[in-house]
Amino acid sequence: MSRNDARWFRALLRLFPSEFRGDFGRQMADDFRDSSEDAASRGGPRGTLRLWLRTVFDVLRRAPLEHADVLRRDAAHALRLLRRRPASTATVVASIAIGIGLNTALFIVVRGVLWQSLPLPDSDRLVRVVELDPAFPHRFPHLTPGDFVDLREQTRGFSGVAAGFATFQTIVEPGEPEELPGMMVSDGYFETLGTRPVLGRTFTAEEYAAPNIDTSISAVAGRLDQRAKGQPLAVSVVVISHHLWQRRFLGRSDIVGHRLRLATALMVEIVGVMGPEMRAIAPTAGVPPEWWMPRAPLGTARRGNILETVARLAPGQSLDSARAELATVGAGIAAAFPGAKPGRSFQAIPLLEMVVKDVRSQLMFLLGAALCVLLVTCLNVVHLFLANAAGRRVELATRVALGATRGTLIRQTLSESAVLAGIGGAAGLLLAVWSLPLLLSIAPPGIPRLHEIRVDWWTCAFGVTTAIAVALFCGVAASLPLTLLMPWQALGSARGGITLQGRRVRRVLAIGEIAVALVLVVASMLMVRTMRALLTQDLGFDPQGVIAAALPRPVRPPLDAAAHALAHDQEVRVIEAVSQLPGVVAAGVGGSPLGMMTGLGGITLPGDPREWPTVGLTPVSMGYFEALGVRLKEGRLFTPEDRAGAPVVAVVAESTARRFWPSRSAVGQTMILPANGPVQVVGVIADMAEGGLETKTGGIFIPHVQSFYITLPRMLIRTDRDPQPLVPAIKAIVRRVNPEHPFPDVVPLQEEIDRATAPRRFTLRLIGMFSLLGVALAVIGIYGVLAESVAERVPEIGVRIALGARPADVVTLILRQGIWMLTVGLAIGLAGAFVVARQMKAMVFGIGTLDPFSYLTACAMLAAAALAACLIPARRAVSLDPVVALRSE
Amino acid sequence: MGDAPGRDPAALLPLTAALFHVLLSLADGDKHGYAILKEVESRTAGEVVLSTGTLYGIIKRLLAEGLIREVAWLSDERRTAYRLTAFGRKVALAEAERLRALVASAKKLLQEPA
Repeated sequence: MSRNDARWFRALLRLFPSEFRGDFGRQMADDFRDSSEDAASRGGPRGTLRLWLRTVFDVLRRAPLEHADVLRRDAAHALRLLRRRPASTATVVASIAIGIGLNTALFIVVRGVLWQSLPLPDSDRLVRVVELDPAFPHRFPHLTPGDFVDLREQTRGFSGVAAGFATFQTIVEPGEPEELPGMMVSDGYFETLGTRPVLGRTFTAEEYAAPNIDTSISAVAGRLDQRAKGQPLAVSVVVISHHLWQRRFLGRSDIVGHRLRLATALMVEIVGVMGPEMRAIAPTAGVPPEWWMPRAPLGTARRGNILETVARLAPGQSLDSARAELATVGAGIAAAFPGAKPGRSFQAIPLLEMVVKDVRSQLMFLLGAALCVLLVTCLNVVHLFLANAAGRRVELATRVALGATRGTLIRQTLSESAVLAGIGGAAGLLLAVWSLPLLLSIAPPGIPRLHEIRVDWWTCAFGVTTAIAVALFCGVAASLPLTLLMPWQALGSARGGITLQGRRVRRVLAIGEIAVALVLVVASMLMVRTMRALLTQDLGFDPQGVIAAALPRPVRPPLDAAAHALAHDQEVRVIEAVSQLPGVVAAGVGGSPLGMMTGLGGITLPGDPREWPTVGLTPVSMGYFEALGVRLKEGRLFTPEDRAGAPVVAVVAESTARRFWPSRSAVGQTMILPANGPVQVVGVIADMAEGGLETKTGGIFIPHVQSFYITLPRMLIRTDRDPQPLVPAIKAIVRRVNPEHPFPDVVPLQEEIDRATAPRRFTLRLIGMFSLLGVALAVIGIYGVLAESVAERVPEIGVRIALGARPADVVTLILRQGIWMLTVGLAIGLAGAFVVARQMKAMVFGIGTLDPFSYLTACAMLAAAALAACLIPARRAVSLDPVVALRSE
Repeated sequence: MGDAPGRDPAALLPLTAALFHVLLSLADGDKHGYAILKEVESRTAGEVVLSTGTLYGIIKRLLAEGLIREVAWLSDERRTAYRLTAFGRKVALAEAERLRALVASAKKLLQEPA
């Protein structure tokens, strides 16, 4: 055998574990030499080649098995060691399980919501086309019909561009009347998304080409008249959602071909059922559509951003190229049709990004917080390891003296942490899967795609990866002091190197734990303060005791002034009937402040032809302001004298008044509304909170009896007692007026406010729980260091007490160490918290991210908890009997 | 570990074919690794051909179980040879007996008239 062969063979042997090589390497080399000489003499070069092939194959097969054997023995050894200290093992496993469980549960949510592609074919090629308004850079309005049509015709970078117009329809037959959200879609809508119905079909070219279903008041009234004359209703087609099919039609397979009667006096035939994947593209922050009808209101209007536009990138096109084209084409359109917004431009945003944009920062923040908890957990595990190593220092030093290499010691520490992380990780995975339904049940309703969240192999992969990371981190960190161990140090002295190094590392760990815990506590304090600010702010109205109910719509829509008066009369009768109910203080019709308002454009002031941008306009009845408890700032509210035919009056909100008349009182001023003509302002009220309660909105209110605008179908009722018993009576009154009206849901206004703050409450609950865990672990950490230090200094403390040290001196001696760690930890934690808080800008309200109160309270709370933990070892030190203490040396 | 008189040889059965052959190859005297390879190959007429990696995996196990032990090779001090322990012999015998019983019962079963 040549020297080269021997070298190659030795190189091959390196694939085996070093232990195996040490035991058998020389023999194997000898045997291989004999074999190869034999093979060469008998088979020549071919024999040698055959031997080599066989040997290489054999080594490749055996080496992993030998490695596995080493691991198995290390793990068995680690298990034996761990079984010897069941209490600390259980603690470590439990804390790892909680840490990994939390992170895995949040990972499942984050992946399901933010990262998993939308359940549509090639969904990463889908974009939403939106308008960019220089006046509101953070809003992404839908397109106006005119802009949509032009963009669709002029762009080449998309293989499909389609739009939907979100609206409501009320099904009145068969079954209970029910109002359902849905979409009027343009041709190519389903094709662009790439979805197919699970049952039946979508719409044909003819159906898309048919005239728009006229939902104008006159058209509906005309159809109602026809029906009254016994003529059959016009028939259109509808595709329903999987959800509606399952819920209302119990998933019956013969649903295609069924007809539904709508409140707009129209028959629609169900031609298809879409799959559940359509829920994923629910309109932003809206309810998923339950039905689709042809076709979207297209046209040339440049006002009204009503078309939710979806487009698919053409093959070979990138997002950037599509954006570049949109910019050029859009600039041309904006220049040709300045319309209401001259400076507008258009942008393509990936559909997934649009769907999750409102929850991304919140979820990532929570995942980050969970990672912090895991970090504190790991630091604590390393703590326990080092405490154990300190207890075993003589054993470890002896082994080093007897020739155990550092590598062996590190490997054993690693295998111990691997076993712990393995068991903890498995438990954590179970915990995550088990707690996921709980987590989802407290999740706020606004989070999209929650129904898509699944436990899959990604979950396992994440759990396993996290467990491996924990094992490596803990193993390496815990073996650091071991690598610095010199046998003579540990053997020579009771306070040998391992303890010294270990204690130094453990102090660093305790400081780290305090720092991370402080970041968590500051974050949760900021959330607590935000919630407080939201809930104690002046809402502009008083929700206590107010319930909101859907108002019956007139069976026949008001077509002329007389019918309008009739409709208003009906509203008034409902309000009067409701007002008579026992306990009702005031009742009125108008929008709920948290709900939607009708935007009104085209308002002008006398002598100034400029049109004002859209302002919210709400026609309200008598009793509305009283029911809502608004605060009058100036002038008066409406009186019975503001009746139909009388001069039209308006009440405006403070900010609107300031906008129209910045330097004058609004009361007595006149504004010109497109449908009413001149309207005199008689009063100014405080702005009311809207949406997530973070913004205040202005608005114009006019008496509904003087208005030609449709009253928002909502009734607000203020009661002086529990409103629940009133619900059946209210429903009965509503039913009496319009039996085809959907059964009104009666909700306390407070519930709507709770819903508005739900996302923050969810974040607050989780971050609060995380910070409690973080603080608990950090306190355990600092306690451990001090307790050990007291145990080690027993003789010294004994001497001090024997020499006359007072209890206060001893306490100070021990506490000084704790306070030092605490101070450094808090300082580092504060720096970290400043950085983290900057990321929370979108989440806080009413306070700055540098809110001093939050930081101070967080520090004080953590310090109090840590000092309380420090007092336990300090008390132990004080109560030492000097005689016993001195003997212990 | 060496010889453990209290241990039950049957606890280790059945042996894998390769392991059994390695034990058999040591029945007539100490051998080093290469000699074991050759002996197994010739005894099985080339049917069982062990490579060094597999062989030493087996040797490791046999040493750990106390079926063989290391001895110095007479003609070459540097090389290690292996010797069958008394317990190893018992285990090999037990395996042989197990195989014999198996063969006997198989024959009986197969030769019975249908």
